[in-house]
Amino acid sequence: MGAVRALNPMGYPPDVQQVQMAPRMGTLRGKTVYLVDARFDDSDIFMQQMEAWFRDNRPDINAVYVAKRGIYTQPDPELFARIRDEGAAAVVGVGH
Amino acid sequence: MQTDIFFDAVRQTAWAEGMPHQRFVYVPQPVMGKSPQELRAYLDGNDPITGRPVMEEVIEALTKPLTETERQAVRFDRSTPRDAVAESEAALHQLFMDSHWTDYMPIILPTEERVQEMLAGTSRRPDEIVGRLRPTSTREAWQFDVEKVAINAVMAGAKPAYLPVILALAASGVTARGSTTSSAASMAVVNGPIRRSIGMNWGTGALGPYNHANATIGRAYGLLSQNLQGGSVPGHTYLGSQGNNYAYNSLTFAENEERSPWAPFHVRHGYQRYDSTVSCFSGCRATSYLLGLRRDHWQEHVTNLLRGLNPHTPPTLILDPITANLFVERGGFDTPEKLEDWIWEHAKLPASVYWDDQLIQNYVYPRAENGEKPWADYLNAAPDELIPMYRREDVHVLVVGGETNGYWRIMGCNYGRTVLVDDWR
Repeated sequence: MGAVRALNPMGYPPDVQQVQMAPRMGTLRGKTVYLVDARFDDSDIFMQQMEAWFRDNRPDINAVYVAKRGIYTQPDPELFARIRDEGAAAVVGVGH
Repeated sequence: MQTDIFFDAVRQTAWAEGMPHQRFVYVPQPVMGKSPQELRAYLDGNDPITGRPVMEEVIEALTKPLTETERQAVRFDRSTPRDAVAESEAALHQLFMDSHWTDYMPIILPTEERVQEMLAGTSRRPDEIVGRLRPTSTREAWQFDVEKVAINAVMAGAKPAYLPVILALAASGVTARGSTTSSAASMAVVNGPIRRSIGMNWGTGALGPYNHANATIGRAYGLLSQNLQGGSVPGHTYLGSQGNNYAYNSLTFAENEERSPWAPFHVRHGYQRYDSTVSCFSGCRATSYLLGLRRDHWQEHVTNLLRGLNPHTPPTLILDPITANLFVERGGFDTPEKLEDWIWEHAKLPASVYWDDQLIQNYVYPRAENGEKPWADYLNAAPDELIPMYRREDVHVLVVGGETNGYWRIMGCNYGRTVLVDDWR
């Protein structure tokens, strides 16, 4: 039986450029970690609970809760610059 | 941080953003509606994907040195082959289904010969770029040419004469396969002379399965959206929790310009009556309906319908000509803009109720905080003060139906854009 052929209906994907991961700092002791509320469905409560977890369990880490500005799909350049300048790391959540 | 149900979508999105080894930690779904104590328990518990303590993973993700794999350069090798080949016609149908290229209804296999016949419906070259589509604003956009649109048109069972409308839909940039968890569909409304020349239905049953052009153009809109944007696969590129039956045909119909008391939709959006256009709406989920307009209490009845809609998705009135004329008679709306004004003025909620809505919290409140009008003006409203649910410019009116009765409906949806079909002939 011979092969049957049709045309592929998928579009053309864009090129992907790799983004290198940031080097890790080994320890968070004495450093500031921003806990960023992504602004989606009660993520503020979740990230505030994470801040409480750090306070209860790792008081040696300066965990700072912050809500990004704008809706969850929008970047917040001011906040991202602040994290870059003043923070050691960030956790963004919660995607759901 | 993510919830576990989005594991596949998260990995796929990170890969497409060039971060295939991005570190994620997962907690159970849902987060919404959980108490602070319940969410703390998520953090004190284990990652449902790995089984390891959540906060241990969080700290490790931030501190553990990058592995050899994480430091390596990655080859993002992907392309779309022109052909799809199988041992038999049945096997080829199975291949299309297994590849998630169909809507699980029978398709016409897009052979080279059939696609060539379809391409006779346009003067555009097969390799001309038509546009880009994406499942949602935060995901990558895929590109496509005229031939790719024609392939999907063949699959849907469309005729070559419909291709200019289908190309215009593809060029709109408005996908009919949005990935939103809210399970939205799209709506396509055709105006102008092409409605008649390709035999579309704007009368009895126009929104139902009773016309070849309406049925196959709408189906083509869905198929081309899912395939040209890179997929609409549950858990990966489609996340609608319940799904949406409107998506089978994308609510595709022609406006009843002949029996409408008003100027057609496309003329009110900058086009001439002799232009042929297609207008795309997205976010179609909520529908409410009414029969006619009673003389004494029509205002209360319409206001009740509006109050039943979600305040985040504005109303488009889809009126049978009988009811369009009743709106003229009862309310003196001799232009649709006057009716849209009335709708906007009467769709209101107490400020406290409005701001507490989950979708308003997600999508409007952050914009109000950023000073965007009109929402910023409502931030200081007293809790009981009635504030508009919608922006005036987001309220629309369409006329369709065969006048078998005066039933009409309100579709909660967002008007995207109108595209000139004549550009794609």
